[in-house]
Amino acid sequence: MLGDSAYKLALETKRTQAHLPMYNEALVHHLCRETRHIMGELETLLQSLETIRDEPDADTRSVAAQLAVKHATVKRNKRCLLAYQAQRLRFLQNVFWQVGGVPEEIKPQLSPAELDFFSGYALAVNTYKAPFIDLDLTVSDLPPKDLYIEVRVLQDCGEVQLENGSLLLSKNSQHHVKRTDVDHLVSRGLLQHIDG
Amino acid sequence: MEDYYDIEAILADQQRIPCVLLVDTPGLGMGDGDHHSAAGSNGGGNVIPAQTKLELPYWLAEAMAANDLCELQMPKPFGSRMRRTLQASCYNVNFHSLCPYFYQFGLKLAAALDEPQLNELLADVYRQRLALILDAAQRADSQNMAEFVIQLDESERQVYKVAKRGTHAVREWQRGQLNRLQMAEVLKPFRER
Repeated sequence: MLGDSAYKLALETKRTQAHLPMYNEALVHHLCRETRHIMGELETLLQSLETIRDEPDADTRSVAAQLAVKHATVKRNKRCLLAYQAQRLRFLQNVFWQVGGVPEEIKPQLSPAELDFFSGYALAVNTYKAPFIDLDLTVSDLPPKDLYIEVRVLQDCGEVQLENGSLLLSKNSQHHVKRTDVDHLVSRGLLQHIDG
Repeated sequence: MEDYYDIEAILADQQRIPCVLLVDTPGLGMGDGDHHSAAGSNGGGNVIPAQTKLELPYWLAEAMAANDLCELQMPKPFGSRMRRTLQASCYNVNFHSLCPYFYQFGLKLAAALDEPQLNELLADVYRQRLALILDAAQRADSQNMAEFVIQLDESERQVYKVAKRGTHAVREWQRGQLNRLQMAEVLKPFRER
């Protein structure tokens, strides 16, 4: 049936709303090829319409039907492809605002174009942020209750520079630190915020 | 105007609708991407004659109907029989097996087939079921709710999810944990594997 691959991609888009699996390059390429092929058919059909127009009993309605079907399919394929891509880009934007960079486990899931997008997006945001020297736009918008929090280290981070001095964060150790010093480490999942 | 990139809208457009062809139409249902084998014969055979009744995905049927190439008919889940059932009671209808995009698709049909009564019915049913859904989302035993959630239409599921998140946030606030720093939402599916 026409549009089946597009449907497949749409289902995958729906299934992966809260996640970012491997870029489905095979299906995307297949859809692009199919769409280009249909475009070719459309052009031939249009030309044939030109030639049979002057014939008295030519079946132009039937050609029109074919044109409508193929045109709808092309538009459908395009929409499904763009929706798939748009959802992934939105996810990447969220990653940037919440984490601040591409985490290692996400990198292999991306297509080269998506990696380009990410660095381009990072550059754009950082350019925008540059004039706000005292204001970090990427931190949480909830007002903190305490200046200091208790954290447990989930993954070795090595030595980390804090506002006053440095601190060795080795796995399973526990620290009482300034909230603003470590909030990005917590959002990256390296530390866990626990009740003091 | 719906969002072009909205995946829910895209999937709602995939719902099938019965229609009657008004013109002999070649090439329907073939060229399914396997174009290497179809390339030679495409457009030749497989002509579906006019007056054939068949089911097409809505995105295709809509485009054809706009050019007077086919005539749309009301799909079964929105037929008069189903409407009477819904008017009697809509609580125990399994929307997910009936039509997973019941409301979204229904709104489109009401416009396309010019049936404003359908709009009213949809709004009515939605309002009645909404109370049930919000109620369910506040109950603690979410395991037992799975069976209930399975029967919901996609948009109702979203409402359920949002309500669930709200309940959860209230509970966190009651325990004074809302202020706790969390791992980034986007990373959770990767770390929990």
